[in-house]
Amino acid sequence: MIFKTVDLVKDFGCLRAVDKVNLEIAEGEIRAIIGPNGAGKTTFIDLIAKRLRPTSGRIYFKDKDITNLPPYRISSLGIGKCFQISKLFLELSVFENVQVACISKRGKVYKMFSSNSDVCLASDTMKVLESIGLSKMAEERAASLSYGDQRRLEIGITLAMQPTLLMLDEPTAGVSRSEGNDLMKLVKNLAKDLSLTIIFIEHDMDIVFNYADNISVMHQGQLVATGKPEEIKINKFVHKIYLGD
Amino acid sequence: MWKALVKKRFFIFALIAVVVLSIVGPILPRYYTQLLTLTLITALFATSLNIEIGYAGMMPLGQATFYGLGAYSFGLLVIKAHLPIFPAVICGLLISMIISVIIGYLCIRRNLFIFGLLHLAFNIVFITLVSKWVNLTGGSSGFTATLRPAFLSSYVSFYFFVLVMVVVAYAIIKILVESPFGKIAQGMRENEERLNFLGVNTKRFQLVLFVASGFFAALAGVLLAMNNNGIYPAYFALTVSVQGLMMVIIGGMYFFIGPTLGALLVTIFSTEVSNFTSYWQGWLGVVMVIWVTRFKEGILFRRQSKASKKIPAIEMNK
Repeated sequence: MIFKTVDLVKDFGCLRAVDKVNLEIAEGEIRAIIGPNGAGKTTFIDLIAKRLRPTSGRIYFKDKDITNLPPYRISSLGIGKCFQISKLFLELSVFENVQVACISKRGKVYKMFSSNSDVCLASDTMKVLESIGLSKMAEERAASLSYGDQRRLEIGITLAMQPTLLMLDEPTAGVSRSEGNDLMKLVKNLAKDLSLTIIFIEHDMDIVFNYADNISVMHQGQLVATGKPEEIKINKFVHKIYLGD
Repeated sequence: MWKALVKKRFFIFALIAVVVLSIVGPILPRYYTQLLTLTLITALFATSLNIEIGYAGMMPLGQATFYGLGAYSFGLLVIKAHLPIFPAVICGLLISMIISVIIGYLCIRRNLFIFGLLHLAFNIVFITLVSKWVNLTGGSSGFTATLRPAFLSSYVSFYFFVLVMVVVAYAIIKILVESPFGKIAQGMRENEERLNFLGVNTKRFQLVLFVASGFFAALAGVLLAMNNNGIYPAYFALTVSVQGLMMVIIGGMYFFIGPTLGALLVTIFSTEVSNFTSYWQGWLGVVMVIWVTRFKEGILFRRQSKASKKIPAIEMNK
């Protein structure tokens, strides 16, 4: 297992948003996490990405306990996160957005007396842009991109860090169905080419069933089911959660 | 390293500016040469401030702390410890840097709003300290003493000394902001959280940036103490911090040369208007209100944005 959580809990006052979640993910797997609104999916992902501190429980990545590490440390270990609402460097160009990640990956953050081109070759940055299909927009300002392209750039920035585990929080939210499918095809191809393990949260069930190897279902903070897409499709409890009695 | 300086447009502009200043300085009447000297020092102070504001999106509300610290560390080493001038300059800058690490560590705790307020609070602490610790600092009168070596005693030689120091400081700042460090700073200005998720310890990065900015402000303070042959609590004044912010905002925070232009405009305005009225600071405030509402990105941005559609972040690097 590349990643696992043990009895992970997150309380907000008297509200338990994540309730003793035990999740295991194998290397190279694409895992979808689904559930109705308020099920605790985003909170769970934020706990893994260290945006939130767990109330109790442990998180392991490659057998290393990462529960108390800050975000910049887990990012360096190989966990990348794409946010639900794109977090880009909006006033920088598309190229510069990826370049920032490239500088960080190479450990050149405090390099004060060398040129950017010396430590982060344009070709490296362009390679990432080509992989996400944005090389022709390299000089464009990130803020001027369409929402779909901003989502791609978000993935590109995260990929420039060369993660082994990539977390996507509703990657297709706010984009058209065809754009969403293109985006997920891209993610699936990248996962294959770069041997990535992927966890993604998604509300669009077509996307989930088409692209996930395994699906975990959350409800009221608990992990209530995990299985192959075809198993989840026929799971009566999952039907009940989504459709009621 | 040198690529930042030899970019054609920047190099030509810098060369012309240095040549013009070298020719104009000695031939101007004494008053104007001295005013130009002061403008160069103030411009360095404003540019130091812009390392944090324009490049990294931080809001240092008490930058006069380092202006004053540079001047006082240097001045007291000469006056009280009787150190020769140039060793005192180096030691003064080192002391300022050490203090800036401590202040930065205490200020950079949570968000940038809290940072600004804590920075301002330190500014107030230091004003009080230098005004009240009479035995060490001379209290509200400060100290008047010869703080220039003999070969810089004439106003022209001192003008050239300041010009050289400012050009060297600008070259270093230019290299710094064009480096990977400068690019990360721009990333922090745009989205600190994203940067954190890209493996950057943003708090530590802010501290390094804070110390770098403080160093250049302290250097400007040293030059100011030399210029005035004295150290006075006014160097720490909140109005100095505010005027620095005004220079950055008026000139254009997204341009390397913006704060220098702002320093020039504010200096001209304050000296010319003060000839007519003692309420010149009030008028400066009125100008600031109009400027912020009409030209919120600074004069350079307005001009550039009409001329081309290129964005500030890209323009900044040219």
